[in-house]
Amino acid sequence: MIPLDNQQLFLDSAREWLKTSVPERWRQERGALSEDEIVEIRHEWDRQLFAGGYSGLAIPTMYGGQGMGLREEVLFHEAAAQAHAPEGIGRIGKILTVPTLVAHGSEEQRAKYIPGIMAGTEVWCQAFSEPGAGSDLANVAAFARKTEGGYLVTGQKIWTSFAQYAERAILLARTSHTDPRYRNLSFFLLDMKQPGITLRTIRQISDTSHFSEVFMDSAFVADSDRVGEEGEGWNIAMTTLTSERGGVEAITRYVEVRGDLDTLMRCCATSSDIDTEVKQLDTRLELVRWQVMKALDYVEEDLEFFRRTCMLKIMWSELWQEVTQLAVSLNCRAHQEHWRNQYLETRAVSIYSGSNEIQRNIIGDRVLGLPR
Amino acid sequence: MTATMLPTEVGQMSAVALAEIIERSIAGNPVADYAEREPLAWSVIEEGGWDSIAVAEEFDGGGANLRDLVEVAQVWGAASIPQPLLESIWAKRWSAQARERSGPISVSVPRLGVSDGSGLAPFAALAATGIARSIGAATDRFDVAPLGEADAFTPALRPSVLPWTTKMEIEAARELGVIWAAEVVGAAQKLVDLSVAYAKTREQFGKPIGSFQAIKHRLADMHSQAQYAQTAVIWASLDPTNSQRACDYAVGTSISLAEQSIQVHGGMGFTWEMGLHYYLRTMLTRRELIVGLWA
Repeated sequence: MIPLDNQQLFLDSAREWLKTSVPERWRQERGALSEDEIVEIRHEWDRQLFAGGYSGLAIPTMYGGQGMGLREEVLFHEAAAQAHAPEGIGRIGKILTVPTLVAHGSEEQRAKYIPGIMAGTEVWCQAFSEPGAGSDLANVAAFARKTEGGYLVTGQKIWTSFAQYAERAILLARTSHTDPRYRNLSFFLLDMKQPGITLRTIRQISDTSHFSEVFMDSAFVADSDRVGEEGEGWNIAMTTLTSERGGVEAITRYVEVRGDLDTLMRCCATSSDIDTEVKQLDTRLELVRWQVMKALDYVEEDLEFFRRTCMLKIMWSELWQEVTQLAVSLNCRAHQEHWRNQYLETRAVSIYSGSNEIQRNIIGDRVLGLPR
Repeated sequence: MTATMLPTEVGQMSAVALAEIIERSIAGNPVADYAEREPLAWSVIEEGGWDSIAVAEEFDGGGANLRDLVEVAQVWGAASIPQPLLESIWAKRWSAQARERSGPISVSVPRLGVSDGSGLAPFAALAATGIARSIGAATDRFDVAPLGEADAFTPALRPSVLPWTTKMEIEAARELGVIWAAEVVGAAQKLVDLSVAYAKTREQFGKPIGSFQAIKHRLADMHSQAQYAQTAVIWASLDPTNSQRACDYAVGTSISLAEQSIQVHGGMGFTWEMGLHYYLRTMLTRRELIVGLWA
């Protein structure tokens, strides 16, 4: 293990790098940028991370990562968020595809796909959820029919981020009509730039669009792009979803909510009537960060680590909603537009990435061992 | 924060060993069995050096720090042992007089809403407990409290009202507040564990109640809240400027966990014999003591 002194050095140099690397236009005039400009900056940011040596911090060096630990990954994400760095659009590849390929992929798949993800040249998206398979993800109905040298996939996916920019998707599809639930799915690496794929963006209540629907009509996947064996898809997807992203995601959200709460405390929440309420929110927010740091001491022990991270998503999402609910009720003229937007945007946070109800089931079943 | 939040080796080893000693003494019995007696012989504590774990190494102590004591206090709180080990550890850490004294030690802290100078002293109704007149200042002195009348509300703390309060340095008082809050958190985690165990075995509608989402989701939230309460007392031990609000959060959350624990236990939860109330009563009085300490 790297001594903690080295982690301080790492953090210092990361902060230095961020200071000079975050694009000035992003820092200063983000609100004035066009959609195309935003995407270009975010895409370029992936390439900057790679050039700077900050891509795939916790991924082993043999796969093109930096070979450090989750602590460095968390420290870097916190520093990046504090420096108002853009979020790359290659994040699905880094947090989902690479860990999956490292755990379950073939040497050929790793060699073919990981370098492009690390370098920020290939964008990936996730094609798991369907209209009939949300919380009940195992109910995936998209079907991959065997054909010469591969499969033809037909079906519909939904809630796919980055679909319009993605070269490839990690795909969960059914490969058997007869095998039982949990053993009838397979895990694929799907080429998104082929005629069988059609996209439709989803307009959200905040009048923004972060997700797409993906329609697959006999889209082709080669045999060599199936991860693991037929029927192993569910187990592979589960390791993907419970990979260590909880801590990294929570620290990124911590910084975002911190920004919102700072605005609230500085400007909008001036009445002493709500002083106690605001201070409580502040304490609970700081505890999100301390909870992540506490968990990092247990990163080598899977169950102990999960005991300490399983609640993070529930905690930051519900806290963020409380912040925006309070803020939008205060009628601060200077920030009215911001709070209206954040209020509507944060309706989604307790639903996406696994609804909070499903998160509570997972804690009950896997951490507390309660009967199903 | 690039550093570890774990206790030192002294803290980890003390917590594990103390848990074993407690287990041997209470032999798996529920708190209702021992809350109103003294399950540990004080000689066991003294001979094992348990009351000296946080004395500085230069004075031949164990050298445990406040983070370590947070670990030890959680173990003590989980069993709710009705004896002043935590107060004694803390007193010997801060006072040369206390280090020379044999027997249990406690303190008397101000009571909110009372202006006659009297204080509330946990364990003052326990025989041979020395109550410190001042801690950390030049004028260390102990009074062995006359066996006062214990406030019957909190059997496991046996507090008495004394006509005076212990003088403490601010930093010493802060540490005691963190230690007491950690004890409360240890009790809360124990109640979550008991609730989970109960929900796995208690059946209604032909199924364990823990399989119903109404109970399962409550228990999931209780686990999350207990984790946060623990994080809060660790935070309090590492960051003096935020100790008070972190401890307030930890204690408030713990009391809520005790209330929820009674709900999960259903009808048994509000019986005397189930014993959950011992924990809850201790928590409420500890909160009163902590508030008095910081007033």
